[in-house]
Amino acid sequence: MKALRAPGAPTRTVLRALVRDRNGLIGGTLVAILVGAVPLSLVWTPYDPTAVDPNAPWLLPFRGGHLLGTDMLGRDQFSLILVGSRETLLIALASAGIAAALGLPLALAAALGPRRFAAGVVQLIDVAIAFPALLTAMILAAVFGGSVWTAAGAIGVAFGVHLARIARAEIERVHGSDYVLAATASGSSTWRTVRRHILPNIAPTLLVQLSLVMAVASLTEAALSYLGYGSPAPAVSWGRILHDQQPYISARPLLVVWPGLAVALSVLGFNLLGDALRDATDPRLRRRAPEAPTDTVDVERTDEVGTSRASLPAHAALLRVTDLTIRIAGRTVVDGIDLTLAPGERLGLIGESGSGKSLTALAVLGLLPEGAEVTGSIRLDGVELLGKPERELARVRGSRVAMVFQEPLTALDPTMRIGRQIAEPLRLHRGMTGRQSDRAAIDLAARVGLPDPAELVRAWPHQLSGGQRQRVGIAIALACRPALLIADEPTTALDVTVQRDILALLDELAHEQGTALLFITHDLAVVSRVSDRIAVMRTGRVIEQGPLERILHDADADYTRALLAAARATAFDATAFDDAFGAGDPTPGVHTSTETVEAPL
Amino acid sequence: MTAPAVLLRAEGLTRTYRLPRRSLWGPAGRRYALRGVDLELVEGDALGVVGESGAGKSTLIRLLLGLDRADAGTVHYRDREVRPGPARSLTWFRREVQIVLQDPMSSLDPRSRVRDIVAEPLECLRVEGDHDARVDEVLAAVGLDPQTRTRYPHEFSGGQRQRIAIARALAPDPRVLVADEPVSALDVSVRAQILDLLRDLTTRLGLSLILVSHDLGVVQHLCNNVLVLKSGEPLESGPSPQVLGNPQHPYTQALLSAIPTLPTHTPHPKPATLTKPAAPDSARPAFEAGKPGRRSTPPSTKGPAPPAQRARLRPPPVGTSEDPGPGRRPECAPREGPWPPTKPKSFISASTAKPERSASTPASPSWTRCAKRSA
Repeated sequence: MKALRAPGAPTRTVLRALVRDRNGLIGGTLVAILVGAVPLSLVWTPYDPTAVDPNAPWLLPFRGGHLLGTDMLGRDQFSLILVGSRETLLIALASAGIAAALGLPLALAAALGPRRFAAGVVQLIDVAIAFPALLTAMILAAVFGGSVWTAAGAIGVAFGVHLARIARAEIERVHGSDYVLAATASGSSTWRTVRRHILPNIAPTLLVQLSLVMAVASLTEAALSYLGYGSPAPAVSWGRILHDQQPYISARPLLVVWPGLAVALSVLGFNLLGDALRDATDPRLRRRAPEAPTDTVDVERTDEVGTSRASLPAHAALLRVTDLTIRIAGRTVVDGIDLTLAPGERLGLIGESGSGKSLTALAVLGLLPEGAEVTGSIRLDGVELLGKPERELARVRGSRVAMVFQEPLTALDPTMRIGRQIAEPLRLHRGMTGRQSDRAAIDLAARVGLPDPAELVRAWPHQLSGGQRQRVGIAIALACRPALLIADEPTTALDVTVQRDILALLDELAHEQGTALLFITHDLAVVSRVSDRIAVMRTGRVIEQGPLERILHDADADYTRALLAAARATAFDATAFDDAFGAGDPTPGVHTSTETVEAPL
Repeated sequence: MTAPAVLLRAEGLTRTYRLPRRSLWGPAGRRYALRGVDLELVEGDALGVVGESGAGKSTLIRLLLGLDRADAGTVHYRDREVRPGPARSLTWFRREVQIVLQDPMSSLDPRSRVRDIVAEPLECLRVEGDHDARVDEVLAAVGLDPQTRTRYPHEFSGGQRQRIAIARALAPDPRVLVADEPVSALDVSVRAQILDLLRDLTTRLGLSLILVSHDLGVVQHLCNNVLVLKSGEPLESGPSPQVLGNPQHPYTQALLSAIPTLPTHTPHPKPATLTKPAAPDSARPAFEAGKPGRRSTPPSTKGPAPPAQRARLRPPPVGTSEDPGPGRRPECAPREGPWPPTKPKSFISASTAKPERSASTPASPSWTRCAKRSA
C-alpha cells in the first residue's frame, strides 16, 4: 500500500491531513490498536492464553482478575483475543499483498498491452471473477489443510481479479487524460508514464479497494475458522474463538461478543483508514485553493460607480432581483446584486468564469446546489420566489421561466426520444395527453427549424448534431411559452456557423412570443447580438449595467472597458485586410448547412 | 536571403476510424478523420489550422506529433521522417517540437507539483543541465513567480495553468510549438494575455508555431499562414491576408461571415490596462553578449523576470540562411540572424520587438544544442 502513495506527498503532510480528518483519526486509531496488539501479544499477555484453569470457567468480566472473563475451559478471554490479532493482521496483510501483486499487473496488461493480448487478459479476469472467494478458500483448505495461507491465497486471488477490473477502468481513465497525452508529447515512455502519472492517480481508488480487501479478509478468516476450515487447533484466531463459543451462545452470550467486536472494529478501522488515506493523499483536498485566484483583468475594484439601476416601476417588471446574495460553503459568490427585466426585454449578463452569473440564473430557477444560502429577493410577476416550497417552484419552472443550457448533449436525456422530451413540459404544465403533446412536439420541432420534424421527433438525441440538439433544447424551453427564458452560454459549445443560426433563432422566437431573455455569456460579441441591455458581473457583483450601445461605446467602469478591449484585441477583424484586397468583405449570404443528421433516422 | 528552411512537412496525411458495424455481414464502415492533408511549416512561420468541430484538427495534431499512426502519408521534420514508436526513438523530435494543449484544467497532472510538471520534458528527453534552474527560468519567462514551483496545479487559475503548460513546452528549448486551441478554454481577458504571451515568446525565442483553432480571431492575431480544414479535407491554404481577407472557398466565406463581431463604429474609449506588462519592451536589450553561465544570476523571486534574463532564455535565433541540412545544426556555432524572416502582417501590438542581430553571442553552455547533442 505504501508503494502506491503519490510521489511528492511527504509522509508528514499525509499524516497531518489524516489526523485532521475525524474518520482518519478513528480508523487510524483502530488499526493502530490492532497493529500494536500483535507485538504486545508476543511479549506479554495477562495470562497464558492456552492455560486451562478448571477452577475458573465461565467467569464474568472483571472477576478473578480476568478483564473479559474466562471461557468454558477457564482460559483468559482478553489474552485469547490479544493473541488472535496476529492471525487477523497477518491474513489481512497477506490477502491485500497478494491481491495487489496479482491485480495491478493484470490491470496494466489489460489496459496498456497490445490489443489482442489485452482482450485476452480481460476475458481471463472476467472468468476468474466468477469464482467465489469463500468457496475457493474452503476447497483449498480441504485439499491443503486449513491455514492462514490457504485462506489468504484464496482471498487474495479472488480480490486480485476484482481489483484488476477496477484498476483497469481507472488506468484507462487516466491514460486517456490530457496530462498523459502531454507527458507522451514530452517524450515520456510508457513505463515512466505509468510510474509518474497513472499509479499516483489511481492510488486513491486502489487504497480504498485494498482496505476493503483487508476488511473482507478479516471477516473471511473469521468465517473460515468458524466453519472449521481455518488454522488447526493450537492456533488462536478470532474466528476460532467464535467457533468455540458458539455451542454456549445462549448461556454465555458475552463470550461471543468480544471476538465479534474485535472483528467488527478491525473491519471498521480498515475501511475508515482507507477512505481517509484516499483524501489525505489528494493534494487538491489537502490545501484549500486560494480564494478566487485572479490573473484576469488588472483593474482596481473601486470602479463600481457605474452601477446604474434600471428604475422600472415595480409593477412593470417581469423579474426583479433585489440584493441577491448567495453564499456557498461560507464564501460569498454572489454579493447583493440587483437586476430588473421588463416583459419582452433582452438582458445580457456578462462576466468571466467565477463571476457568479450562472449561479444568479440558477437562483432565479431555484436550482442552486444543496447548502447554498440565499438572501435578498427574487420576484417574478411580483411574486416572491425565494423561500417558495419546491412544489410551487416546479410549477413555475418550465411554464413561466425556462432555461436553455450550455451543453446540448448533456442537457438531453439520451434514453428518451426527441419528441417525448419536447412534449414533456406540455404534459406537465398544460396537462396535455400523449397524442396532443406528440402533435405539439412536431409543431415545435418545425418552429425551431429542425428538418423533417415528423420523422425527427422519433429520433434519439445521439442521432442529432450539436446544433440540432440545441434547437431541441430551445423547443423544450419555449414549449409552454414562458415569460422569461434564461439562456446560459447556449452557443459556447457550438461551431460559429451553427452559433449564428442559433442566436438568430433565439432572438426571433423570443421576439415573436414576447419572451424576455436573460442571456448569460462571457462573449461580448455574442451578447451584442441578442441584448437590449447589458449587466456586467465581476466577483459576485454587478459592476455596471445599461443599454447595449452605451456599454459598448461609453462604458463607465474600467473593468467593462478592459473587457471590451480584450474582446476587440482577440476578435476577428474583417477590416484588417481591406488594404490588401479592396473589397475584403466576405460574401454575405453564403450559407452552409453544417447541421446534417449524422445518422440515418 | 535564401529560402528559409522547412521544419515540419506533412504529405498526404490520412487517418480513418472504423465505424461500428451496421450489419453482421457487411464490411465495417470507415470514416475519414483526415484525408490527404499536406502541410509545410517554414522556419519562423506561424501556421494556423482552422476548422469547426469534426474537421480533423485534433487528429492532424496527433499525427504531426507522432502520437498516432497515419493510415497514409508521412511527416518529416527537417527531412527526417517522424515515425510513431517507442518514446526513445522520438527523443530527437520531441526536443524540437513541443505541444500546448487546449484545457489547462486537464493537461496538468493534479498530483504533480509545478516543478515536476515543467521538468517532465527535461527528464524524459534526458536534457542535460540543472533542471531546477531551467524550470525557474521558463516559469519566469511565462510570467510566473518561480517560487510557485512547489505548488500544485489546482492552486492556480485557468490562465496561470495555461502559463504552466506553456512553460512545460518551452522547457526543452524547442524550435516548434504546436498549440491546440490554447485559449479556447479561457476567459476573454485572460485569452488576450495568453495570446500576447505566445506571440511574445515565439518572436523572442524564434519559435515556429502551429496553432490549431476554431477561432479565426486567434488565428488572425498569431498566424501568417492559414490552412482551412473541413471534414478532414483541406479546403484552402495560403498567407492569412489572402485566405482571411479574400477567401475563395464558399466554406471559408461562410465561416468568416458567421463570426460574431463587436460593433466598432465609434472610436474606442481608452482601454484600461489589460496585461500586466510582461517586461518593458523598450528596455529589452539585445541578447546579452558574453553573459557567463545561467546560474550566475538567480532568477528573480517575484514577478516576471527582468528582460535580461528572459532574453537569455534561448540562445540567439538561428541563422535561417545557413541551415546545414537535414537534422544537423552548426556545431556550437553562435547562431544569429533576423527573425522572423517574414513578419506576420496581422500582429497587432507593438511588442513584436525583433531580436536584434548580435554579433557574437556564445550560446549559454548548459543549454546549448551542443550539450543536448552530446547527451
